[in-house]
Amino acid sequence: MDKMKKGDLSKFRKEYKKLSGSEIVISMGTCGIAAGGDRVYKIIEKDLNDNGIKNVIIKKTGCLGLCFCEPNIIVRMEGMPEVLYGNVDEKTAHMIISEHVIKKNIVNNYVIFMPTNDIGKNIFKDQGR
Amino acid sequence: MKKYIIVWEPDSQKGSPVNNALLKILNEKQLAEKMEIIRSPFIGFTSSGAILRVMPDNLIYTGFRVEDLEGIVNATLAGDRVDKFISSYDNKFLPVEEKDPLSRQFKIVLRNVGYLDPESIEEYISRGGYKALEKALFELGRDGVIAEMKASGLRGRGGAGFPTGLKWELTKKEAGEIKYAICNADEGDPGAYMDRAVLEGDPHSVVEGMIIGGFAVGCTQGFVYIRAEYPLAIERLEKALKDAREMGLLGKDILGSGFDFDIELRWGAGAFVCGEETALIASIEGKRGNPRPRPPFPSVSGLWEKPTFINNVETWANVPVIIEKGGKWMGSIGTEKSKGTKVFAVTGKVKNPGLVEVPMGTTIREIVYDICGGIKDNKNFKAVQTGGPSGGVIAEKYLDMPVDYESLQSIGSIMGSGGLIVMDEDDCMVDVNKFYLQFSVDESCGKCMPCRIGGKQILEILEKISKGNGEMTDIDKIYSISNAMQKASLCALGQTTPNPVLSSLRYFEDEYLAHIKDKKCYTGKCKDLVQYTVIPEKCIGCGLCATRCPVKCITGEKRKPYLIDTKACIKCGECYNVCKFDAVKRG
Repeated sequence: MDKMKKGDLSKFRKEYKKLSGSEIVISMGTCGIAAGGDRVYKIIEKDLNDNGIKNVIIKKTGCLGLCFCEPNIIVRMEGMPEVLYGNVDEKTAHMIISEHVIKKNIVNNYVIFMPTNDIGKNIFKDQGR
Repeated sequence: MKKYIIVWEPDSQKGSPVNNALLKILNEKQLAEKMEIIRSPFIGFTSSGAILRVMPDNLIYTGFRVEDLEGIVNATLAGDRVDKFISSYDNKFLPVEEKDPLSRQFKIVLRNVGYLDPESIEEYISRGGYKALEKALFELGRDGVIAEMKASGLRGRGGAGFPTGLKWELTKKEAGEIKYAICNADEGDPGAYMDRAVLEGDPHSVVEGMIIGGFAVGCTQGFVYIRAEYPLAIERLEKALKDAREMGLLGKDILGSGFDFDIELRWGAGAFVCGEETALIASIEGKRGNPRPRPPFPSVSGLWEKPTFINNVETWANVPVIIEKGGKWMGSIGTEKSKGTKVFAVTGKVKNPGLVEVPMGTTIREIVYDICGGIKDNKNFKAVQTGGPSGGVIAEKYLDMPVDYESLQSIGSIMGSGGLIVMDEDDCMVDVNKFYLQFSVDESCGKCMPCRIGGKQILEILEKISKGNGEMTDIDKIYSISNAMQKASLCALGQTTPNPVLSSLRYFEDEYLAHIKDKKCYTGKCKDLVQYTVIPEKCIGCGLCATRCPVKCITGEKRKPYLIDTKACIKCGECYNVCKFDAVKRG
């Protein structure tokens, strides 16, 4: 990529588009990985592949600070509220794909909430997305 | 769109009455198509009663009764709300419009952690990253950046709380072409992991902060001193540096401004003392990590005898937001003398341990009870320890004190880097302090005598007390050794080693006296000072303790009082914990 100059950053922000509306984000700091986040990542990757789901992106992120219920994953499906799942083990990971992603039903008993809104979004308001 | 009501109920509410009532209403009204009820193990904060969260409206209801649920369901279906039960929260230390009225937390340092992919510079930029750098380079200029930093009132988040803007100004004023910026990522306090979370979750915020700092002070080289125990943080930070270089945000001629700045990593081998700035500098220079006397301070003569400024990871991560939003914005958050937010790593005996970022001035009660769900297994709160082995305990009477640098110091603790360890009634102060002293003794570099010998002596006195051989003169000895250590140690490690013991003596002296005079440890942690016996009047002879005893030292006949063989007993406390009739006595 070319080196950026003054003004290129805001241009970049405007042009940067999300690839798809639906995504699954897995919390993978050292803590998340230790709790099994990497296994969950592989399962979700495989399940999406096996079911031929192409329009859901899978991403990793850092530690949300919810140590008591790791691994956590965020599922953003179009037309559904954003859902954060905690204590996701292998069984729940399969269920999230088969129920939430495919049948659009939220999986009961594992939904948790972020302690606060995404404040970073409010601090830097005119971001590209 | 379908409505979702998410239900959280505290453990104390047996049989989830709220959830069942909601399901019943749904069934009766046949609303399954329009609404779904979902149970949640954690809903963002906790309360003594049930909490409902309505999605996608994002409303929170608290303080309702089961009879009120039908009204809430009806309102939700109609797209309306029941104002009476809507929960909201207002913190007078947080007067900014960006806050989340539903939350006690406010994330500045952790603004991106958990929201973006730490390995993608594109995502960081798309969320407003490197905007502050552009503003600093092309709008504010060197003096402008320092003026904003000073206006923000930001103080060092490593624990000591030195004003960051002033530190930058002092280093900038020093003569000389070559100056250095250092990021202290040698996080070593037991139970603290804020810096790791930031470096793993949002490395670019630290990189951006350092570039801005380097620009303001006028240096071209920065170092991140990071623990080798954080391999993932190192990997992600290196990726961040590489990406930033490729995009022209780091290295020569940043964004075409003519300013050069680069960052290198230096690995720490895990010595706690290397978190002390002079020892850290020695370690980067390739020498043994020993501290040296100050002055001269690093701002005058630091790395390779050049002016150097060192800030902690959390401090650096604050910088981009201060530059972007302005020092005044930051200065409006927090208490009179402590501005902004603080990240705490809450561990120990709480229900929901984790990372918490709150505005300065938030009370310990809010952190422990409202955010982290209170004490595990509904036991009684005893104390919290802040500042790790350099800090002290905060007793129950200070639960409602607003937390900032000054208030913590006034009660004998320190802010520290942000480890917050919660202790309950089962923790013995003598035992806990033995742990901290052992840690400090292990980590003392051995250069100066008060630290090397003093720490060891206090530890031996504590061990003596916990074995039941303590004498009343021991308390005086602790005070006099501590005094010598505080006055004569070379660096903060030795000066602060006695802090945990001193503060626990201040608030829990009776516990030390019980160990010394009565030779008793009421929590059962000091094995030599505890005995388990069966109270014959209470024992119904169920035999549960005998089956659970790992050394089979409890004997007896069914339906007759059992007997513990105190000689064979290993004092594990299993019998005490399993007895349903309080028939096992500890003491």
